[in-house]
Amino acid sequence: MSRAERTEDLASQWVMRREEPSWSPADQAELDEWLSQSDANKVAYWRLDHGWREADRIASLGAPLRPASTMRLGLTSWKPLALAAAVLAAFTIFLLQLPGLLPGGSAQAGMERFETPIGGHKLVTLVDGSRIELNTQTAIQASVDDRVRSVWLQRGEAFFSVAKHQGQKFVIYAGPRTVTVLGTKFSVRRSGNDVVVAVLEGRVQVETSQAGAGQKSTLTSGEVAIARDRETLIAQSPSAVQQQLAWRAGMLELEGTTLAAAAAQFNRYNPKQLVIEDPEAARTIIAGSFVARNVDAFARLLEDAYGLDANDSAGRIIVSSRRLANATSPKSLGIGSIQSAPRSQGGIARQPCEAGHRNCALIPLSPPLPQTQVAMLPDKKAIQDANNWDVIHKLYPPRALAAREEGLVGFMVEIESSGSPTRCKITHTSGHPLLDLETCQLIMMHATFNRPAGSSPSQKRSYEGVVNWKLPNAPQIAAPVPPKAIAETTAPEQLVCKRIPRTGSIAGFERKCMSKSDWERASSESRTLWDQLQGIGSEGCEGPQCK
Amino acid sequence: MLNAWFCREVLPLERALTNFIQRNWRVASDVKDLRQDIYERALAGARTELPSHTRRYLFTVARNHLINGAKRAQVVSIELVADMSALELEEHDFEAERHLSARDELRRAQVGLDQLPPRCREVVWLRKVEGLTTRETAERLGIGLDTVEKQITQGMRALVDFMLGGNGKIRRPVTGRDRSRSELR
Repeated sequence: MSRAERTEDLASQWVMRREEPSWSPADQAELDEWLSQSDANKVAYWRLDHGWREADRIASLGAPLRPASTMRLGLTSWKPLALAAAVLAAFTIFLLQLPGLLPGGSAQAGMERFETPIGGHKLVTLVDGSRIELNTQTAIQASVDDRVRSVWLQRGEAFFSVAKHQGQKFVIYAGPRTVTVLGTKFSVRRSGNDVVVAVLEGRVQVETSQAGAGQKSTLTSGEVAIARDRETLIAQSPSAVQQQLAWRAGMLELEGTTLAAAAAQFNRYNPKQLVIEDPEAARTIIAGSFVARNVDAFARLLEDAYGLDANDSAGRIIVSSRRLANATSPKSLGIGSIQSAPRSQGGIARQPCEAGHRNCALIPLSPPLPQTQVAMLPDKKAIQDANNWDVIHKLYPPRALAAREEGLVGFMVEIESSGSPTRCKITHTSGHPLLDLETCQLIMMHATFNRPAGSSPSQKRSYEGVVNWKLPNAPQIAAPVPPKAIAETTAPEQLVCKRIPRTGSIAGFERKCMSKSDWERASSESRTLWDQLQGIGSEGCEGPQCK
Repeated sequence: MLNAWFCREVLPLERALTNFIQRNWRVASDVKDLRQDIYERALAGARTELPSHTRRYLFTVARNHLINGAKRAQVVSIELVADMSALELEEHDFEAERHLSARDELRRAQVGLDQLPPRCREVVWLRKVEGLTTRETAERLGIGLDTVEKQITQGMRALVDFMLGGNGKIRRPVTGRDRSRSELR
């Protein structure tokens, strides 16, 4: 051993000893003494100590890299065995990644299963002290061993308060997404392949479960991730988190969702199902906070405040538009209804609605439109089954939220055979051009459209709709700005989306949406770049290949 | 303060410094000793006042030390003498090295860990990730305390070496005593 190596060896022993729990002031004094003996000692110690601490990062790598603890090596035939061990380790890594793919695993020791029925709400505590709150119709399996705590969310929604244990990972497998906890409180909701993660405290990491897909995002408190297929959208919105977690208090927070979506929410909690009979009623926009398990109260509210008919029959509540009372009943948004529901300026009174108020509804005020402008708006067809637009509503563009922009955005999209939109056009402006643009962007990124029954799969379709952006807790509704007719505004540009192969991936694609002129600019820029690379630049161009 | 300066400014240059020594010194086995000497001298010189250009300073110390060493050893390498300009060239190397992002460093730590021998890697893993003490590690793996200690110190040295730009290989002193001892336990 050379001189430097001897010093390094001693230094490494100091670094190691210092990490031990038995380290005492006397030891420290001894170390100080050793360090003061020479600069060589200092240098060697500092170097190792620094580098060793840098290596702490590997702690963030997580369990899959961990080599098997059962590995034993005979040191006599070191090399071949080391090779075999490396192969074994590689295989173990593979095996350790499997749990994400195999939600079964019932043979595993200590696997526990918890379930709630419709309307159920249950709090379970795992052996490690972590608490999981299960919402209605939820099923999970949990397994805790001394290295990793795993939970498989088979369906439903759960809120996790994870007990901190150094080096013991907490991983949640929710279908197409894996959530790795870095010590925190958060909820995960899964319906089919859609996964929504809302973080109340701390940090979690969300990634695609498929090996090799490798998309990772880290969420911190106040952030919501909405994942569908390959895409994950993250929004910083503490209010959305609160909304996602309202169920813990038994509440449903609805913020400008359609009645159809609201009914779907209620139906998660109640055996008594809400059935919305006619499409017009289904389009009614509902906002407010409601007791999730009291569907009767909600039905009464629909009758009283929204002017709909709700009939309780055979364990179902059938909701329909009140045909006779159409002219007098207050209706909420829906352009079709504006035409048929003349009412006093300013719409109906808004009920006081504060946080925690039970069964309080915000009745959206539809701007009283002058008849002339109404004629220019798209007709009833405009808001077709706006099912699932609540997803869009949860994604209130943060910029627009900050600027307190709200309003109705009418749009038209062209849909390709797979159901994803290819173009988006604004048919009705909210009066805020940026909000219009953001709406189109959100639709292009997140909306998928089911093929109506009976149409051919290859057929291109288009879809018209309206998104009603409504600020949460708007301080007061000032005299609403009448939406401008389309013809008067500078028409916002159409958005065109394209699928672009993701760099560094063979199969991965990403959607990119830009306005037409942006695409043209981008393509001409890249053309110039290629030309320059090939020496066909616009300047100094000579020869036959020049135009 | 000296410590902070050393870790922040000097250690990131280790890769470049090692390359510099290797290029200018024929005896490969001397490299570690020389590097250690250079660090030592650099530290002694920085004691009164921290240099404003650590890179330039460190390589000046390195060059002087190599020249002195060469004189003493009477093996003067031609490159060394002509290497005045090499200092400038060097700058590009470590400019890149210094700006490793946290992600790169993690990757580097990971690769460094991966290439440790399996047992050593496991011991390092248990300590770093699961936070086990030496005794707990020994109990978990059913091996002796001194084996664990040896694995940790070796793993630490190799990993640090790798993270600072070295090859991260364990120089295993193979003696009969070592072997029989590790095998017994």
